[in-house]
Amino acid sequence: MGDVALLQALLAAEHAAVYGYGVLGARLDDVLRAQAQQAAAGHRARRDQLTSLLLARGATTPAPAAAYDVAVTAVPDALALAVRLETGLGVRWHDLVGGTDAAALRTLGLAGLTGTAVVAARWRRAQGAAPPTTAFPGVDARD
Amino acid sequence: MLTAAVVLPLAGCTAGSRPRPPAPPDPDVALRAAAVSREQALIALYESALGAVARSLPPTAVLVALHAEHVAHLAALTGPRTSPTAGRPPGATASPRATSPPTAATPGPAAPAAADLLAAEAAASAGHAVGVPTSSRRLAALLASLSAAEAAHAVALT
Repeated sequence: MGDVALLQALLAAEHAAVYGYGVLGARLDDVLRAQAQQAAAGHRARRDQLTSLLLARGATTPAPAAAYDVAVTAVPDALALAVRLETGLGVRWHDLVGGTDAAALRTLGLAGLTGTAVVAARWRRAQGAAPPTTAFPGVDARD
Repeated sequence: MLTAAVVLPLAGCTAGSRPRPPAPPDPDVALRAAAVSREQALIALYESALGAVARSLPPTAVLVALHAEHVAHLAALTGPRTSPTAGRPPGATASPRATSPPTAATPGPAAPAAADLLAAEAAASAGHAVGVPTSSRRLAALLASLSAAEAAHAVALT
């Protein structure tokens, strides 16, 4: 998979994350909702960054879907979705690091992977998971 | 005689052969070795923390879990054929010892505080990150995962 395809896959995943956070945030209390809003802001920033990178390469930018299949009826669902969104993105960022020889893209991938790992750990802590971390972010979620 | 003057400088060379320049060192070797050292230091730090009794430290279960993750990191860096306990004396395992405090008769180094663990994790995360842009794809992906893991450990430690 070339750099453009990797970036397009990431952009598609960020679109889903922005949508997903919009859904799950409504189920959370004020403290966790603020956490969700912060995470969503981060994903919007990444979405915009990826869009710029693709446009600079003359590549097409995947559009967000009209809707995504996310069902959130209670707080546990919301927290589980948040973890899923972050770990799924972590896999994509990990793919970018290991799929390119471009130093700048690897650095971007590392920042993205680190961000999702930290945010996922915060959501797992909110779930009461102990420990809230995984040994290999970007890899563990593939199982 | 002119022929000999031409031939002599070429003595030892055969047609089509030129001395090869030495192969450049594989950057992965040094990067991987440095990453191994970082993980070994973290493992030792967590084992020191587990051997201490300090209110300032996170719960034992957290320390045990993070220690286990670093053991897994070391195993990933050293390869599947190398046991995480390589280099340890016989009978030793990768598992942390029981959380009993050091006895007064065997004073050891001061137990790390939570702040020490956080600082060590942050330093390791930064150290792993250095190798990501220039290593092989496979090692870059592993170092990125380890760097991200160490960064996330701060969530568990706070």
